Amino acid sequence: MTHKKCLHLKMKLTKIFFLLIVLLAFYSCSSDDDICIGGEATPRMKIKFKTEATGKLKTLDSLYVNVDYGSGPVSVIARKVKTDSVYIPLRVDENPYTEIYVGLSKAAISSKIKINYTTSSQYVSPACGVKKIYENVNSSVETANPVVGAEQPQTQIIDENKTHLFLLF
Amino acid sequence: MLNAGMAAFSHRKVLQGYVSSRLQNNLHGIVQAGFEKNIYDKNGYDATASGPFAKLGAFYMLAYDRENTMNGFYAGAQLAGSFYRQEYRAIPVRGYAGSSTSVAYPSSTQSSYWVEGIIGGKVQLFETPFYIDVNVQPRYMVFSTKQDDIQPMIVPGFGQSSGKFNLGFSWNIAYFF
Repeated sequence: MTHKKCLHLKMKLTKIFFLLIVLLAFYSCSSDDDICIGGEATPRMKIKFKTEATGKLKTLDSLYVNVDYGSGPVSVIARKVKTDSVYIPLRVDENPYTEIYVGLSKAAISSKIKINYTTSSQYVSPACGVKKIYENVNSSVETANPVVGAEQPQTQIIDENKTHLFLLF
Repeated sequence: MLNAGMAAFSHRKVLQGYVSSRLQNNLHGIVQAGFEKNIYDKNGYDATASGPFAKLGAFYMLAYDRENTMNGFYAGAQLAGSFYRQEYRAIPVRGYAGSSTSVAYPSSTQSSYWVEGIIGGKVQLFETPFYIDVNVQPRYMVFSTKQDDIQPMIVPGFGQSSGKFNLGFSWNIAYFF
């Protein structure tokens, strides 16, 4: 190999080398640590509605739900459209219950429902961290009107497939 | 060739050194050992890990200076292992409306094993026996022991990543004797 040829090869290798570094640097930027894709995290409580008198499923014309996560009620659901089911995230701290407030109009979110449970923790993934699983779930209507009663078909919340709570109107 | 590197970035404290020796022609063997202490404190996590790691491998001089064959670019591969103590003081529980909390796990001893490539260059510092060595190490995690299935966020020697792939970068001063 002549000296010139050798130099040329060296230049080429140098170029490849730096290109490789740049490519690797870009590749290493992609990280999936930050975003927790729904469904893997703590399951929400699925709520459906029934007419108390008949026991039949009911579709509401509007629904408002506020939830107290420890610092006063915050609005979680505010719908003016027909609604037959909602998903409510419960508290994930050490509190043994979550209080939710339900109403059919924004002016009167007046029914208070207390959901008691025990929790356990389960590791999910780097992005989602740990999820809570709720067991021994039982709900009671503390303040009636418009909700007059509650049925608890599921006593544990491990996923979002089944209906965990029926509210009676 | 003896080489020592130190890094003291914000949270990461590494002390490592390596010895490389020519096996034949352009092939060099490399033994690397170090100790790393690191913190992972973001996205609701608060974790620490510290422990020693060791790497064993070889690299090949791809292109070098005719007058000094130690000057040049090289590429190689290493097998690596790390034995460390980790403590996850907080793993997040993601809740609604900012009501997130965390769960703490007791400290435990774990180990991880990975393969890594090494691509770099060495240049002699004037006429001294010292060399400046810059290299990147693409790493691929092969196996980790886990505590309650928790994917490790930091592994000494491997770096900060929950993924299988990570990229290391280092520059060192090397002494040739």
